[in-house]
Amino acid sequence: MSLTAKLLLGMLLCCFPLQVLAWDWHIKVTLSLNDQPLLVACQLLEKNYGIHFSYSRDVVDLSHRITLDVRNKPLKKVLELLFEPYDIVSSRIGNQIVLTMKSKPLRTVSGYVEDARTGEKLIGATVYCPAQRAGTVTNQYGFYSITLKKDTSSLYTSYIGYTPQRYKLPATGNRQIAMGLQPTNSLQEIVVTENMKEHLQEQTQMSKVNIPVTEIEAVPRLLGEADVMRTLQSLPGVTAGADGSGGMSVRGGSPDQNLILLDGTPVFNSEHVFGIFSVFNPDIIKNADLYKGAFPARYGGRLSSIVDVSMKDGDMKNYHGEVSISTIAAKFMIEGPLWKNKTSFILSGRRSYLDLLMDDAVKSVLKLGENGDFYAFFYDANARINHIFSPKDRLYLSAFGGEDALIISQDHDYETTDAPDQRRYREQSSFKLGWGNLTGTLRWNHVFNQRLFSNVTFNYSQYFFLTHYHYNFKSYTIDEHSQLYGRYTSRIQNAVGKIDFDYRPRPSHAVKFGVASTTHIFKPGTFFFEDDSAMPSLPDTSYNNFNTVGVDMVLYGEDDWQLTPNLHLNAGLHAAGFLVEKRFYRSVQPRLGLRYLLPKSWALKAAYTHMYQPIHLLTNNGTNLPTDLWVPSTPKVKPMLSRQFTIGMAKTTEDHQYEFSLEGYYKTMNNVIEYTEYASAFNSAGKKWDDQVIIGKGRSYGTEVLLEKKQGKTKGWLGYTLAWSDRQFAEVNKGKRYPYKYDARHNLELTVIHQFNKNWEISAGWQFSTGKPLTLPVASYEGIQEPSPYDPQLPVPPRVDELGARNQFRTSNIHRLDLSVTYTKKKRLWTKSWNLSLYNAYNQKNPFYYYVKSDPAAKERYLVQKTIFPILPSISYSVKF
Amino acid sequence: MRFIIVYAMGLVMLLAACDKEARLNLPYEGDKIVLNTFLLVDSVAYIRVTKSEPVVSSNGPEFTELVNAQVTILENGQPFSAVHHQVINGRGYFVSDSAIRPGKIYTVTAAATGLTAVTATDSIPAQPEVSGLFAQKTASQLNFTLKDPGNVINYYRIHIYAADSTDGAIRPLSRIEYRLDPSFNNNFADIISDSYYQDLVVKDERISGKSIVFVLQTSKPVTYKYMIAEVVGLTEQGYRYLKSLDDQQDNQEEDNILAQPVKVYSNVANGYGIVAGMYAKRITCKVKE
Repeated sequence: MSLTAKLLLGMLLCCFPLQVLAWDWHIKVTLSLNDQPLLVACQLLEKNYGIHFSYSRDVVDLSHRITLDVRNKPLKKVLELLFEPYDIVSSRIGNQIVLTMKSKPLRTVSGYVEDARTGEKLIGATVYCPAQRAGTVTNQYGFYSITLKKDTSSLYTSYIGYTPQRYKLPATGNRQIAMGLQPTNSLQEIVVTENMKEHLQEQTQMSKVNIPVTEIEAVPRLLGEADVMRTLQSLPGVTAGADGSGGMSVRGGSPDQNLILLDGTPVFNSEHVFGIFSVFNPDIIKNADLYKGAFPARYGGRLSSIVDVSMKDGDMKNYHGEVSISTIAAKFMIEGPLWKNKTSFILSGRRSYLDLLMDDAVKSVLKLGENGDFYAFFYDANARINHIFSPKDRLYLSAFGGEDALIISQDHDYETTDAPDQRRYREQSSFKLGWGNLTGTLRWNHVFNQRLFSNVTFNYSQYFFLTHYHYNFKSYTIDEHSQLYGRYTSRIQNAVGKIDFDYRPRPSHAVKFGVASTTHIFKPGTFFFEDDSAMPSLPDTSYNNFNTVGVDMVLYGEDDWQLTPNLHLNAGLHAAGFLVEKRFYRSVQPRLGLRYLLPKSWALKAAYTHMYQPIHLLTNNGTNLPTDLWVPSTPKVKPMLSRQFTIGMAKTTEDHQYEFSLEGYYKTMNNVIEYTEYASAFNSAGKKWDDQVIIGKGRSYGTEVLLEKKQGKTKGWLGYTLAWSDRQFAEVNKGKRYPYKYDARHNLELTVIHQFNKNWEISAGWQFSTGKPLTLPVASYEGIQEPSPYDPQLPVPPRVDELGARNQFRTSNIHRLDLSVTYTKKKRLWTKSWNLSLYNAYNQKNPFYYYVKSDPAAKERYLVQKTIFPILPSISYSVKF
Repeated sequence: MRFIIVYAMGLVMLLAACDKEARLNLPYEGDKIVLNTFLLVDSVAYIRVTKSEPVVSSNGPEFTELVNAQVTILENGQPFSAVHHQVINGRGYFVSDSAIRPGKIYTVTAAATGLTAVTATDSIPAQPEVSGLFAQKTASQLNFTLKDPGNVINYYRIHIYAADSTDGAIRPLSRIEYRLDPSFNNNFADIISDSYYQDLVVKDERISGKSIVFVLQTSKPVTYKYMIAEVVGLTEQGYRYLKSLDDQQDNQEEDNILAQPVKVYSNVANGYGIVAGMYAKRITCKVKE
């Protein structure tokens, strides 16, 4: 080889490597592809620019087809355009580009689940990924967030009353998916595919019952009114006073230990007509949850139960309304969009009308005079506006108000001149008795990102009781006149500001945490008087006029943690501080829950929770009344504390038709109070109310069994409770434990709802309970009223009955059958429906109370039981459009 | 306030309530001595000793008197007076020989064969300071002034009598029914339910230390010539007994749906009944024409 040739070869050899190293990230490339696989792109780059790609065919998939047209763009940019959408990472190793898959094993899907027709957000809907056996439920605002492995292809969403839906997920990326579900025609047989729903056994939460609104409206009604609280009373673990009156007792707790929330705002007295009906109009309710134990960390402030009622959002797309009239009340509801898909509103109202009908009859029976008046009614009204600012921000504003009132006024003009009465005066008097609630709520949902949801709430709630009288008297004969005015009011007000976060960092953790501050203002029983008489005689114009302010601060956190696929732990902590009159009470309450999945779809669950209540309800020992007063803790009466341990088993059958749960609980309550035996009922709670009460403790334990069928033509539930609950006060029954007034050993409830066809539906409910405790007299003796036997007015000495030990007897067993039939007819523009209900169908005489009756003729005395509700048919008619 | 709720519930529950005899066996605590007396200043003591009975008794309205009981009265711990048994208006009483004196503490005991002996103690309250009784013919109101001492808790009982003058002395004829202004006893419902009473007990909660004009509304216009107002000072024990007795009597009425069982107060150890001191003051006036 000549020297020239050697030089040329040398240059060639030298140049070769340079040619190999001739490309870098910045070289400009031109590439043009039309629906061709990535593989072709790689081959073109290699051919034109000498860039060699190295990858493993098993891991990296280059078959994706792309269309691309770039001219003179930097290589790095072009590679990004090609590979980024498919999560392929290109990196330079030596002289080659090595392709690997991006290691992003997780992705989060979030969004809202709503009713496809109306946009109503669905609470507690299940979003489930069967392949990974992971799922979640939507929160109070219909929001869900689920973090999964990326190679998930679809999610299933389901909710009672709606057709389950499957959503195919896009191949990659975090996604916000709004899921719209279609309500089912409940006659369709739902073909449930395998593993579509998160089963009861897969939820860690126990002691919780959810009542679908459709069931509240389908069960038999009292006097034509469907009622959520009455329906809750037909569940195991929940007892009520006689015929539903007098408050609700959950697992041996007293009625003031239930926290009743309407859209997150506490309602202090949820009863109309002394407990016969609740203040919640079912037309406006979307969801009602009852927690009897295993309380999540975000709830606090009461010992025994949480009833979380959510109002409907309002139809975002169309206008709807409903008008109905029942045996005692008339109501309406109207909802619709103010701005389609952005703003919706819902408005409802209800008023009882019997007083308007019976006005004249009552006036003559009570002798109210020509200008007299009589009103006895209850009403409630709800309003709500929702506004969606953006997919990340929503605002809700709602208000609720209601009242029970009795107004009587008389007007008499006496001109009698007949002896001996000789009345000649004009007398006018009016009297009002009323109680009611007022609440307002403002909430703002903000979605920070796929994993973090927040809600800021401001709410206000008030319960008041008021009675007042006016009295005018003027004599025609002499200068004598009277003008009196008196008023008694009691009130409790609450103002809350809080922020809650919902955070789903990874599939095995669902974290909730938040902060809240509540200001309570107690005004327990103020009197106010005015006297413009000829001879005024007022001891004072105002009495007990003071307010007490208490501030509650709460910090909570909980994590639903999947330790292993079979073992879930829900660990939470609720820390609360209560500041009142320079005293500070604090508590740290653990909230622990555990769920272990056993073979054959059984789950074993256990929970341990502490609950704390710094405010008390002063009530007499007989029954709960609107005059009961809310008071804060004092140095003598400390906040109540309960500890509850629950253990149970749950299962949903394979065909998803039946849900079964068996739970046992043991609960202790400290610092419960009641009036001493001699304290007069309805004492206004003056500054020293705590001198009139005694402090003790309570205990309850038992077992609850619930079998539910939530789907199909026939739905319903069967519940059985075996429970004990007692109280212990040093001053009662010589300090021995005695049965609590709501203690009923056995309770059996059966409710069945059957839909024949699209027009006819029937339902029946049967309840049985063994007797409740009763205090009865154990001796009789002579009383005395006058000191001297020579008194001209000496009456026959009264007979006094000596009461025995508290609650040592039992009433007779109580049972009752209720029936109802509903006929619905769908017309072109509207749907009408008739409901005929029969309360106490076989006229069982259940005791409301007992008393001793004297029969002087037969010289006999005997115990009599009084029943107030015999068989009661009722009818209601409603029109929906 | 109780009456308001009872009234309201009664109105609202115009549904047909029905009664049924209950098949519950009421037990009996056993026979005990019942000791009843109100010790009124300047009067001898009339002590009634009877025996208790089962609740569902068929003995009729009268209780068995323990005629052979041994009854003693002590004044400030010392023997006070002998008692002798006397039948007055068909009923038997143990009557003391001496009159009750103000400012003392009395202990009464009763024992009978076969039954546990009982005892009870009470003091004598202060005499109420009332004056200035006034009423006018055809009026529906009358008034008097009561001055309440502020340092103790006082309890009062009010009776009003229509009276006539015979032999220069004003004697009571019959009791007049009246009601108090609701600002005194918080019984708002009286106004609307047209309730009048022959006998009311009042605690000095609202009037402690004050001199107040009590204006009473009568059920019928004033037509009589004279009037007597008797204000009786009560002790705490007497007040509790009379108030709880009144509450229990209200519960006996069939339509009282509240029917919370009421425990009648008793200060008799090992038995039932009440021993309470009373001090009455009567003021009179001629009704203005």
